[in-house]
Parts: sequence; structure tokens; C-alpha cells
Amino acid sequence: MSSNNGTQPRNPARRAFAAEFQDATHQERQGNSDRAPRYQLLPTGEWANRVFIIGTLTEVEEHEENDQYVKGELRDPTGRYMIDAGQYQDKARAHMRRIDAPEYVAVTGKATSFEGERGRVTKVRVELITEVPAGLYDHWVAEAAAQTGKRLEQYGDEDNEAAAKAEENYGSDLNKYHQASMEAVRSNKEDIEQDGTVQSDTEGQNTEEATAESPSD
Amino acid sequence: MREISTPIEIIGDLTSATSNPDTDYQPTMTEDRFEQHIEDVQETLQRAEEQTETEISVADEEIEEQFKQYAEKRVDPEDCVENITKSILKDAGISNPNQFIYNGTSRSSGVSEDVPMEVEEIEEDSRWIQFTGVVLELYDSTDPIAQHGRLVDDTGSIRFTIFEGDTDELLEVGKCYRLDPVVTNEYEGEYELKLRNETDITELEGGEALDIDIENYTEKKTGTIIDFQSQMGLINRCEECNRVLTESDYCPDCGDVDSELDLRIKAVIDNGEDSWTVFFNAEQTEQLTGMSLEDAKNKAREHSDRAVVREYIERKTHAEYIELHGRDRGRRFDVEEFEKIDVPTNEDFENILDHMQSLVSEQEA
Repeated sequence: MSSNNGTQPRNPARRAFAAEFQDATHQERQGNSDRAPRYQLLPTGEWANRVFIIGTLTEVEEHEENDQYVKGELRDPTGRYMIDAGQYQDKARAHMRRIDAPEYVAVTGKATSFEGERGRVTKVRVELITEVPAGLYDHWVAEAAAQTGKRLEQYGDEDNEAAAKAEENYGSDLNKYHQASMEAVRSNKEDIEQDGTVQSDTEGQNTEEATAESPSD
Repeated sequence: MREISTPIEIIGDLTSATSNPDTDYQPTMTEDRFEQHIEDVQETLQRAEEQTETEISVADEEIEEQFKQYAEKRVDPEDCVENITKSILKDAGISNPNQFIYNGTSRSSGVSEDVPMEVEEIEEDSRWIQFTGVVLELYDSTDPIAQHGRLVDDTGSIRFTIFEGDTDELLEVGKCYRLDPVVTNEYEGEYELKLRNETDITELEGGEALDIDIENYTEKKTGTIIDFQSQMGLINRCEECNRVLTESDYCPDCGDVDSELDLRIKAVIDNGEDSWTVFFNAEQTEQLTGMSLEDAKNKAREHSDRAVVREYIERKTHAEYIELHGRDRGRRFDVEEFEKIDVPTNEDFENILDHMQSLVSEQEA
């Protein structure tokens, strides 16, 4: 974690496949104040406060008692992410409810984790979720693979504090993430080969009009 | 000596116990406890002495005495190093003690050659390097900063800072300089260069200078639109001063005014490592979304709500991969031109696979 005493810069949104994000259960705060940002530690050695994912929204589920909470499941070629939006994410909540699963979506959100029945579980608290065309999914898979590759390359660097911390918490067997990334690229490539239309859908995103439902801003 | 008398005191001691398990609660606690901090003070004093050619001589015991006084008032030694150093420097008649204290780093001893580095290679804090670049622009600066601005070389641009009294001369826009040595500094998540007392500033001319046209300089960034900020979509601008207004008929600068509608996007573009705030004007917004200012006005009228405009922009542009050309201004990027990046082809995926594959063989090797 980089230390600095100035004001907080915006945290970059990391790209990590589900296979890795699921395992990123170690959480730390930067700084001591109550408002200090929290980070999940990626096993390949990077701190993630925010993540950006493009995947398939497979499920949206309402909470039985709390109508100010909605959760969902997002899949990429390597696994699943749990996503949710609560009381303070009005807009994200409305958007999650509006999208009919299954659908390709882009999610920008905060990486976080909680104590589940069988240990710590990671999830993404949604800040922004929108439907996207398949072409952007291809983009993301390529990008996530490239950035995972970069982290793997830098893992052994002497001054890579995040990697040292990751090794301490998770061990240094990164083969799983490496294989998962390659598998994701391979499967995506096959999809493109089978279905050329996937690529052509680059212009604009959703062609239908923005609806007037509950725009809260 | 300290007595454990309140819960606060106990917490304080527990904290220091974790940070320094070997030396706490030992009979010789005082000496060990202050040793490192006394050394830190002395190091700064010595640096000030060399740079100002003023004699400052203070015995370790005297410094220790000061640490003890702070400790009695429950200030941990690491928290008062600066206070103590500053008071000694002041007593010695040094006019600007802060320049030695907030140095961040001291020049490593010895006469190691400073490595020439380019902007894209700078990824480490507190490193002394040699840098050659052209001054792209200067910003207004106020005390204690004598000058700050941006330098460019063939690989990108970087902010630089000179504190009052640190250098004899300041830099001029458009000129090329060799700075040897300068120290890197991480500030607000971004690297910058600090010119210091030790920095030799040499203006390079002719063939020696970098051939960079400042007037038409742009850099390229690629990233994804991952988020949006407030005051975008359909906005009101003051007819007098063009300022973006939160109320349609009142400008904080001009008072009661008429306003006109404008369209813009205030996006966060992020590449996984850095992010910038990027403004797209009405024309650029149309280019990205297909929606013109007129379209936006109609949309807002139809729904009696301008939030639909913002919503529409978000849905159209979130997750778009973009290449930007313009000027990097730290956290903000002023875009002149941009284009959407084509989706990856089979060949791109093959290249990524090849690269990932090569990582396997490296690990096995």
C-alpha cells in the first residue's frame, strides 16, 4: 500500500478475474482514521479498493425483509462474483432491479468482504451497473488477462510490498490464477470464432432509448 | 518517569509494545527508546549544517532530554522528531528550517552516479536521478512553493516542484534542462520531481536539447470510462462568465443572471493503475453518444426531467474503451481528440495467450 500524507487520490479500479477475486479475502485499511479506505488484497499482489468487471449478470435477488437491499451474481469465464447494493446505493439498486438477467453488464464497485458461514467471502458493492454489448465483454477479458499477467510478472519484484503481503497471507502458488486467465482468453477466443457477430457490435451501447424510470440523481 | 494511571496510558504503551517489542519494558528503556530518533534528528542537523554552512552542534544527551520532556507529556518519540529538530535549527539561526525537515529524503551519502531516467521509468519514491526534459507549462504557486509545473520528455510528462530557497534559478516554459540530480516524490498517488539544493540545472540548446514542440504537445492515454461525476449531462452555464451553475438563475460570481443550457460529460477514465477526470464538451458528447444538445433538451422536456439525459449518457458510455489525446494535468486530463478502441481481434487474443504462456515457461525455468 503506498503511503502518502496528502489527500486521498481516487483509487484505481483493478481488473481481476473471479477466480482470483474470490480468493482475495484479506482486508486491510490504509491509515487509522474511521474513514480510511479498505482494500482487499489480490493473491497476485495488488491492493484493490475498487474493481471494474464486465460479465454476465445471472441473478438478481431481493432481500426478504429489507427492500433497501438487493444482491446478484455476476459471472466471468473463470467463476462468479457476488454483487450487492444497499441503503446508500439508491441508483445502483434501481439499476440492478431493472436489468433482466441473464445480460452482459459492466460493474464499477467497491471491493469488500464479509464473514460468511464458511469463512470470509468477497463481494462487490455496486456503484454503477449498466448493460453492455458483447464486444465490451471481449475487451474486458483481454484487459483482465493482460493485467493479471502484469501482476504475475511483477510478483517477484523486490519492492513489491503487496506481493510480499499476499505471499504471507495466501502463499505463493499462483498457478491457479495463471491457468484461469489463459483459459478465459482461450474460451473467449473460441466464442469469437464461432460467432463473428460478437465482434461487430461495437458502435454505441444500447440502442433503445433511456427509460424514464426512476432516474435519481 | 511515566506511571500507568489511566486507560489511555495503557493503550499508549500497548501500541509502542507492538511497534518495538524488543526494547519496551526493559530497564534500559530510555536510551534504547530514543536512540534511533536521536540519530534521525542528528542526521537532519548535519544535512542543514552542510547546506547552510552554519555550525550546529548539539550533544545526543541534550536531544534525549528533549525527547524525555515530550514523553512526559505523552508524546511518542517518533511523533516529535520534527518538533525537536525544528526548534534546534531555529535556535541555531536557520531561517527556513522546514526545508530540511520536510525533505522527505536525504541525499544518499557517497557520490553514486545518478541514473538518467525517463518519465515512464519513474516508479519509485525518494530516488535521486538525472532527468532531462522540456518545461511544458507552469502553474501559479504560492509560498512555500517557489515554482511548480510540468516537464516532458519523449515518454510522457511529470509534475515538478521547487520549494522556496531550494534553487537559485527557476525554470522557463519551452526550455530544455538537464536536472542532475533531482529526487522523485510520490504525492497524492502521483510521481513528481523535486528540484533541491543539490540540483544542478543546465539549460540544453541545439542538438543537445530534446526536440519537443510545446505548442502542439499532446500525449496519449488509454482507459475505460468507469464512472461519472456530478454536474454533467444537461447543465446551466452563466451567460456572463460561462461558469456552470447549480441554480439556473443565480451565479456566485455575477449574481442574478440568465443562463443557457449546455451538454457535457464528466467521466472518470481508468486503466487499472491510474485514473483521470475527463470532460467531454457538447460536440464530443454527441460523438460518443449520438445525442446532440438539441436532442438532450428534447429528451429532458419529454420526461420533464433532465436526469434522463445523464442516465442516457451513462448507459451509452459506461465501460467504453477509449484512447485519449490531450494534456495530462495530473488528476485531470484535458482531451483534444479521442477515439473508441476497437474490440480485440483473434490475433490480439492470441498475442495475449502467447505472452501468458511465456510466463509459464519463465516460472518453470
